[in-house]
Amino acid sequence: MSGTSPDPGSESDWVDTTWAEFFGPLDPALLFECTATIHGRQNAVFVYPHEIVVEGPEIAEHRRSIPLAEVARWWLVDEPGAVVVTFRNGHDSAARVPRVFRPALETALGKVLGPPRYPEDAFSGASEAESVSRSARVDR
Amino acid sequence: MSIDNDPFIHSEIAGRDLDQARAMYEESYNGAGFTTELTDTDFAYRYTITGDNEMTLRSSMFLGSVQGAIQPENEYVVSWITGGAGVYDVGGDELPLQIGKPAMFPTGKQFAFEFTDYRQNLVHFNAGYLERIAAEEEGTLPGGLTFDHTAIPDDEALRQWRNTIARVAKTVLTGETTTLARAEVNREAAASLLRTFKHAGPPLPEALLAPRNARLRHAVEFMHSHAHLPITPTEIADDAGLSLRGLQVAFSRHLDVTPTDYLRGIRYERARDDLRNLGPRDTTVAAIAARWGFAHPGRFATGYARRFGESPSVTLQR
Repeated sequence: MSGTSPDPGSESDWVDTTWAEFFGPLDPALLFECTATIHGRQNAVFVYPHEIVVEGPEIAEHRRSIPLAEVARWWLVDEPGAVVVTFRNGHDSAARVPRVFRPALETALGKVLGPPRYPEDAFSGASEAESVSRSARVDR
Repeated sequence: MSIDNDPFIHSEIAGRDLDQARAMYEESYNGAGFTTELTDTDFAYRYTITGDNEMTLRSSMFLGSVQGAIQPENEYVVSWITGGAGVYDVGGDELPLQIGKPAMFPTGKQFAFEFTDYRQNLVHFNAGYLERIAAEEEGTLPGGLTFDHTAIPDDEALRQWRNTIARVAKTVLTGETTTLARAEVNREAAASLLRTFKHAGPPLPEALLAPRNARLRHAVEFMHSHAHLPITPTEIADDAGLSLRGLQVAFSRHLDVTPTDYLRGIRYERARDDLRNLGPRDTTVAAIAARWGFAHPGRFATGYARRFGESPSVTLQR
């Protein structure tokens, strides 16, 4: 749903324009979008009618498109201030977004993929963050 | 790296499903029981966050009807709608929002709202950050601020607020800035908010105004800003550059109380604020007592009644 930001014509436009417009127009094809850029590193989940696109610093070439029918399982792991969503379809693809987005993320993904299913190794013998890092390393 | 430790974030969530939107807004604003309905417009929602741990600029779009009750925690929020319609309801007093006119979220209390097909900009300040800026800018003690959400800022104050926010938004939203520059605009926005919106903070004991009592004042400020933490007199003395004995003597001489009793007094005041701002359906006296470090609800109730002339349960019911 992101695109080129408009260039405000005057100072007051920065107050009177809804700030979301500086993020660009919404993509009409998207069902759901959740993005976070932290220190210039993009994390994102885009849900289209037939596929999910995941972006994250630990994903090869930072972006992977997964047909909905090929997502074997997905799950969420909480971190301080953040939630990490991971999709498994042979590879694990993870994105990290603000924790405040967790309920909407869970609702949105639940509707297209069914409820989250945690892998057996998601939490065993490791902290949640370590577990996510381990999942992410599979991808490298 | 966790997002909590990261100084800058630029994020967005958007979709076309009412259930998603309801879940998102309930989580964002500590709300519950939201009801949402479609309107004549094709439904979509969009919520953006840009900023850091001190201040974030947010925007919200909801092309439908939503109503509920919220109680933001640990933050102060000023917002204005840029389209659509909205109204706050604070204890039966309805406050219709006007496009472009900023209004503070009522502080420390739950309030109801109803919005339809709206677009909104919001500035969220971390509570501790804004309270620190208030103490530095206004010479008051750091502590909870109470904004009068019914007060209408004068035109000149609003003009200056708009100018400030335009500069701040231009800096923050483009993301082309340094940590230091962002700290400056955060402070500029915070100071402007404090000048624009009528508020009150903790009262300052007269004895603390004398320059010779600077260390005592420092100790008191430390207590106010750390009252929610398990601090000890030794830590308070260390932070103020006093010996433990020096701290005790200073409190006894100038405030006629021990440091421990003074800290307990701050916590009683905070508990009273919570009891006033919440209702019996939201919390219990025991929960508030525990929140402010009173392990025995019975003793808390006795001390509270002695200090305020009424029992905490009476305050909670009002």
